Amino acid sequence: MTRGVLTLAALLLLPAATGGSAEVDPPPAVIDHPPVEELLTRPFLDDHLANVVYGFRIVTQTGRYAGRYAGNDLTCANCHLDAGRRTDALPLNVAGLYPKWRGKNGRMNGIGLRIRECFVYSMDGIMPPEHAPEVMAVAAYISYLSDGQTVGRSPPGRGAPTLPDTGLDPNPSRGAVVYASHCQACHGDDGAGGETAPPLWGVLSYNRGAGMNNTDKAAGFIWANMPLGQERTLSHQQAQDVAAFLHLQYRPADPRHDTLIKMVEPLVKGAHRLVRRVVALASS
Amino acid sequence: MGNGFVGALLVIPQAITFAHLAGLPPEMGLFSAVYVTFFACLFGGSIILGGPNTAVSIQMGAALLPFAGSGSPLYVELAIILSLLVGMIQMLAWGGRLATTFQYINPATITGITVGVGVLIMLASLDPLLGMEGFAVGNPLAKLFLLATAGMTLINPYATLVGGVTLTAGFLARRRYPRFFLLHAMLAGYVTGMIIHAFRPQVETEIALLGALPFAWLPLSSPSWQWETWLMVPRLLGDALAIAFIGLAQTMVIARQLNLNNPGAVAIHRETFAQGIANLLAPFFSSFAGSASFNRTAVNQAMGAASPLTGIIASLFVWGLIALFGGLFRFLPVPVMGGMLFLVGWGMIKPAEIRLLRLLKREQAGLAVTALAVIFLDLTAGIVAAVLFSLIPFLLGAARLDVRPVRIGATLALEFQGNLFFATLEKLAATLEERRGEAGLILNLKQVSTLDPAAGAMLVREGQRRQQLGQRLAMFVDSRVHHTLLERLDPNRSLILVGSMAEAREAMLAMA
Ligand code: HEC
Ligand code: HEC
Repeated sequence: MTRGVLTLAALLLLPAATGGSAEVDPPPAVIDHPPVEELLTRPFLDDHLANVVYGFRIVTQTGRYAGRYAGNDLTCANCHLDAGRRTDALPLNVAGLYPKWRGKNGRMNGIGLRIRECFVYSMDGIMPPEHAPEVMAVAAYISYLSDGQTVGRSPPGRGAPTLPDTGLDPNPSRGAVVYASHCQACHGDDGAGGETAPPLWGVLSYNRGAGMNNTDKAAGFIWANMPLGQERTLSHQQAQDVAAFLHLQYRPADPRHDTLIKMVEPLVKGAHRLVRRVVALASS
Repeated sequence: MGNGFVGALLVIPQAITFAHLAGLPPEMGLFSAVYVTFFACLFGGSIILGGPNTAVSIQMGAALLPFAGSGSPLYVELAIILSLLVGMIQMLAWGGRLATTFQYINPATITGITVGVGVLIMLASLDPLLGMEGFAVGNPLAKLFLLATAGMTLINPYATLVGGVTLTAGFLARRRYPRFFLLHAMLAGYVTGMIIHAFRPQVETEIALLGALPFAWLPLSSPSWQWETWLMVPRLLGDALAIAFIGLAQTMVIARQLNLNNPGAVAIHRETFAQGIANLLAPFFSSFAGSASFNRTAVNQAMGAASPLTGIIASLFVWGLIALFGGLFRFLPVPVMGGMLFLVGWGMIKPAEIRLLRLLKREQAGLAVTALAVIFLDLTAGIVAAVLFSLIPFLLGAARLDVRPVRIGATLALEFQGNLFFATLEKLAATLEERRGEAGLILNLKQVSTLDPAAGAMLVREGQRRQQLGQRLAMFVDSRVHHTLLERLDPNRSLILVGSMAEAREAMLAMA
C-alpha cells in the first residue's frame, strides 16, 4: 500500500523533476529471452521459436535454407554482420520501424516486403511470395531481435554510418589501390571471394539494385566494418574511393530495368558455377 | 522406356502442385513422386502407379494448418509424422485384411467424395490462380462472397492473366490430348509468365514464382522423435485415419477396375501392404503420404505397361528429368499451378458418371450427401457419410425377421429367419403376442444368425410367462453360442432348449 502511494507520488513528481519534458530516455530494455544460439541447442521448439531459429538459419546460411529464392553466393549475414546483431553493420533489430513509407517502390512497406526486396536485390534472386515460409521465418527472427526496442525509434547504430564529406570526390583508381592493399587478400583478385570472404562483384554478387550498390552506403559499411578485424582503420576518403571502385565493377543487372538481361543471367550463373566446379575438381 | 518417360513428364507438375496444395515445399512433392512410387511398385507387384494425391494432399493441409503456419518448420515436421501415422494405419489395415471391406463401400459415395474433393480443389486453386496467396478463407461460401464483393481489390491482375491463360490452354488441349493436356496448360502459362516478365519486372508484377528446387538423389530425413511433437499424435489421429482410408479406398477402386479387365491383375492385400509400407517409409526420404493415382495408372496402362518395372523406371525418370531441367521450374509462376489445380479438380467431376446415377434415387442421394459433407464440413465428414450410407442396405437387410408358422399336430412351430436383435425386437414381441393362445409353441431358431441379449431376455420372459400359465415353450437352437447365451439368461430353466426338431416334439408330447 505505502509502496503504491510512493510510486504514485514519484510518477506525479517525475515530470516536474525533469522540467516537465516527456523526453526521458526509456530505461534500458529488459530482454527476457535467450539468445538464438541457446535456442539452437533445444530439442523441441514451439511454432514461434522454430520459426525464429529457421529465420536465423536463413540469415546465416541463405543458400542452404532459402536457396529457393536466393540467386547468388552471399548470405544475409555477409552484410548484416553477426546475423544482424552488430551495430553499424546493418543490424536487423528494426521491426519497430515498419511498416513505413519508402520511395524505392512508392508505398507503405511492411518488414515482409523489406525482406523480399533484399532477396531480389542483395541476393539477386527472385521475389518470394508475401507468405512464403522463408519470409515469415526471417520476419519472426527480426522481431525476436527487436524485442525491447521502442516502436518507431531507430535503434542505436542502425544501418551503416554516414561518412562526412571529405571535400574530395571519390576516386575509383585510388580505390583500386586501396582494394589491392587492403581487401584483395580476402576478397580475391577478381573480387569473386572464396573460402575467406564473400564475392564483392561478378555474377554471383549483389546486383545493381542493391543498397550496397549505393556508394555512400557501401562506403559507410566498409569504413565501419572492413577490413574485417581491422574495422575503422581506413580513412573516410579511402573507404569512399574503394566504394567507388566497387561500383565500377561488373555485377548482375538491376531487375527493375533490365528484364531481358535478367532472363539470361541464370544461364550465365549456371555456366559460371559449372566452370568453377570443374576447375576445382581439376586442381584437386 | 518410353512409358517411363511420359509418366515422369506428367508427374512432375502434378507432384509440385499437390505439394503446394498440402502446404509443403515443392521438392517434397517430387521426392514423394519418386520414393512413394518406387516403394509402392517394389512391394505392390502390379501396374498401379502412385504418388502425391489430390484428396490426401488437401486433407493434409486441412489437418496441419491449425497447428503451424503453412510450410513452417513445425508444419513440415508434423506432415512427416502424419505420413508415418497414415503408413502405420494402412499396415494395420493390411494386418487385419481390411482391404476386402472396401468392397462394401457404395461406389456412389466414393464418386461423391471425389466430386467433393474436386470442388474443394477448384476452390483452393483460386488463391494461387488469382494471386491472392495467403488469403486463406476456409469456408467456401465466405470465400465466394468475398471474391464477388471485394474481388477486384484482392486479386493480382498479372497473376490472373497467367492463371487464365493456363486454364484456357488446358480446356482447349483437353479435348485433343485427354491425358497430357496438363503439360500443355503448364507450358502456355509458363510462356505467358516469361512474356509478362520481359516487359514488367517481377518486383512490380509480384507474380509468385516457384523458385529453385534443391536437388538430392537420396534426400534422407527422419521424423522428429521429440515427445513434445508426438504429443500431437492424438490430435492428428482422426485425420490420419481419414487419409489412410481415402488412400486405400482410391487404390481399391483402381484395383477393382484393373481386375475387371484382367482378373487377378491386382492382389488387393499385397497392394494394401505396398501402400502402407510406402507411406511408412516416406518420412525417411523427405516425402509425404500418397496414394495410388487414377491418372498415372491410366497412362501406365495405356502405354502397355505389364509389370511393376515400368513404375520403378518412371520414378527413376523423374529423377533424371529434375536433374536436367529442374532449373527451369525456378521461373514457373505459381498461378500456373493454380490453373493446373483447377483443371485437376474439374476433371474429378465426371458428368457421365453422375448422370448414370440419376436413375437410382438412393445412389444419387448418397452422392449428394457425401459431396456436400466434403465441401461444407471436411473430408472426414464425407468419409463418415460414405460409410453410413454404405451401411444402409446392410442395416435394412439385417433388420429383417421372417416368421413361418408350421403346424405339427396340436403344436405350432414358428420358423424364424433373419436376426433376433435390438432392431427386430418389436417384430419378435408382436409375433409372440399373437401366439399367446397356443398351448404348446416351438420356436425354430436354426436359421437365426444373430441373437443378442435383449432378444434373449425377451424370449426368457416369454418362457417364464408361459410356464406360469402352464403353457410351455420349446426352442430349437442350433448354435452353441446362442445356446449358452440363453442358458445364462435363464437360470430358472423356464425355456426348454433342444438340439433338433424331433427333440422339440418329444418335449411337447412329454408336457401334454
Ligand atoms: C549485399 C549486402 C546485403 C545482403 C546480402 C543482404 N542485405 Fe539486407 N540490407 C543491405 C543494405 C545495404 C541495407 C540498407 C538498405 C537501405 O538503407 O536502403 C539492407 C537493409 C535490410 C533491411 C532493413 C534494415 C533497416 O535498417 O531497415 C532488412 C530487413 C534486410 N536488409 C534483410 C535482409 C535479408 C533477410 C537478407 C538475406 C536474404 C539480406 N538483407 C541480405 C544489404 C544486404
Ligand atoms: C580479413 C578478410 C577480409 C578483408 C581484408 C576484407 N574483408 Fe570484406 N568481408 C570479409 C568477410 C569474411 C565478409 C563477410 C562477413 C560475414 O559473413 O560475417 C566480408 C564482407 C564484405 C562486404 C559485404 C558482403 C559482400 O560480399 O558484398 C563488403 C562490401 C566488403 N566485405 C568489402 C570489403 C572491402 C572494401 C575491403 C577492403 C577495404 C574488405 N572487405 C576487406 C572479409 C574481409
